[in-house]
Amino acid sequence: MTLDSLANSAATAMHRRIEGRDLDADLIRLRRASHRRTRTQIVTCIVAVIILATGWLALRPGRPAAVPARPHPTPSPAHLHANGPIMGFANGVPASGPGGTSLCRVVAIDPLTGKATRQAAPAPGPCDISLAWSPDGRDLAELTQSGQISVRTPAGAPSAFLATCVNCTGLSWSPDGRTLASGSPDGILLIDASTGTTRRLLAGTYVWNPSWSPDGTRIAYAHADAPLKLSLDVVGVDGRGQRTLMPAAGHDGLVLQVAWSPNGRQIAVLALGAKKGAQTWPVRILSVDPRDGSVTMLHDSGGTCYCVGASPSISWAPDGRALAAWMPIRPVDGGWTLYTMLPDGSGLRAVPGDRLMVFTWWRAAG
Amino acid sequence: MDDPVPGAAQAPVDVLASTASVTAQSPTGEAQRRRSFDDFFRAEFPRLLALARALCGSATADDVAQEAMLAAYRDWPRIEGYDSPEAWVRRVCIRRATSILRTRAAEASALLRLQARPAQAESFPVEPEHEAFWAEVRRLPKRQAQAAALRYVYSMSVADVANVMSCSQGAVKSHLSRARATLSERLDLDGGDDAS
Repeated sequence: MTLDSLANSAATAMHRRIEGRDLDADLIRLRRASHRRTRTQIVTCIVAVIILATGWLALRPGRPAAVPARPHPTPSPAHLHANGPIMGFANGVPASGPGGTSLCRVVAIDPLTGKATRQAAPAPGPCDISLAWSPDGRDLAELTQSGQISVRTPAGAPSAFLATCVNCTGLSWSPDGRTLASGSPDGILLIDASTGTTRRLLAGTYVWNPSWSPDGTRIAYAHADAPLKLSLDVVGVDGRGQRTLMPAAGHDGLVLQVAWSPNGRQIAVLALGAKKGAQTWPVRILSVDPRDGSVTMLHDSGGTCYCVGASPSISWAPDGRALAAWMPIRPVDGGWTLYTMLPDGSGLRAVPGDRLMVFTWWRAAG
Repeated sequence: MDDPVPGAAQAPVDVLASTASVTAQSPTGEAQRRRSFDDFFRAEFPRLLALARALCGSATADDVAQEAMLAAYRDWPRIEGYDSPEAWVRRVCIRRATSILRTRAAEASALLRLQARPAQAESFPVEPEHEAFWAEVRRLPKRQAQAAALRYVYSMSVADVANVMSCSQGAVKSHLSRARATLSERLDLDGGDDAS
């Protein structure tokens, strides 16, 4: 047998087997299959249109994307504890002072419970103007009302005198812990933390409360252009690149305190808002973007700050996820308290307890 | 007062008339197309089924042939205008029959179909040597199997096979020559080159 003859007979046999088929049944089945496929395509198209429409509604421009509702955030207790205590001065303890002199003591305050723990023996006389923990949390720099700048350990070791700076305000450690900065009527005073040698930046400029950037290249400060007109400026540590981030006219008030966030993306500003024709000064906490100077209002006390004998203050948690502020209670009734809040101003929470504090700052845990 | 634009009043009437004309003609056109496809189906489907059986066996041949016909049915107004709708549907059939993934899907579908209803009765006996022949065709490389199946099932010329396979006649001759040599050797038959 040849291949051709086998192929021909095989093909013929196959055709004969098929000859008896009911082609009408095959045709009906074909049409049903076509209808099924049409239905499937229609359903697929409808589902695709629904999915696309849903996505468009959720993402269309000018409308915020739908996000699940979440409760109003507050700094969690674990988070607050992880950042260590909030440190402050407590004064006005006449019973303890010899001869009726007020005493000033440093206290560590649990940010959750408000429990205060005395940190150092009280010293006679008014409280220091400012304190600042070194980046490693070992040394405490002090600025007294008489202008003495010194460094000591909280365990009670004698203070090491560094420099004198009359009418200075604020202390800020450089991130490497080698230099201290303080604001003065004659620019920024930079003090070597080990030798006490000093140099000045921006001589002739009235500077309040400088704050070092976390990368150590710039310093932000309040700049007094005129009485009751304080802007937010930054300058490089080499004295160059000075620029105004938030002009005094931009917030219509006084910049009092400046605190650069640990991640470098925000400068928290505590300012007093001026009201024309009234001697009232609501406390405002602002967030300024160091890149473009854009300002966001985080908190407005909306009342009056009786800033006599006490000054509002602000500081960042070491991890940058919360702020602590010492400021008038809202609504203002003359009392003051310690608050914590998230970096966007939400989650404002009063730390329990009554105290007389004149400054706050946050010390790293451990 | 301005004279009305000539023909302006007639335009809506013309539109309505043309719309009515299309509406009236549509069922007729659809019926014609339907009849045209039915004739095509009756003439082509049995041979298409044979081609599918030659290429992928009887278990899945029904689905493969029906898939090819379904593709033609759903696009019949266009396919009908081709020079050779038969060549088009055979091309679709051989591609689907030799696609492994499609064959697997068709096998699964065939199993379900066989469970659901009996296959159409076929009284003509199946000779073992014929089954062996088609089994060897299916074992050939894909293009050789396609060329051999078209050649033997349809008794096509090389030119027609080349048209369906969308390749040159030289390529078809080469495929057929190799296929014949392989089949002759495996089936222990006398071969010979008949590629003409």
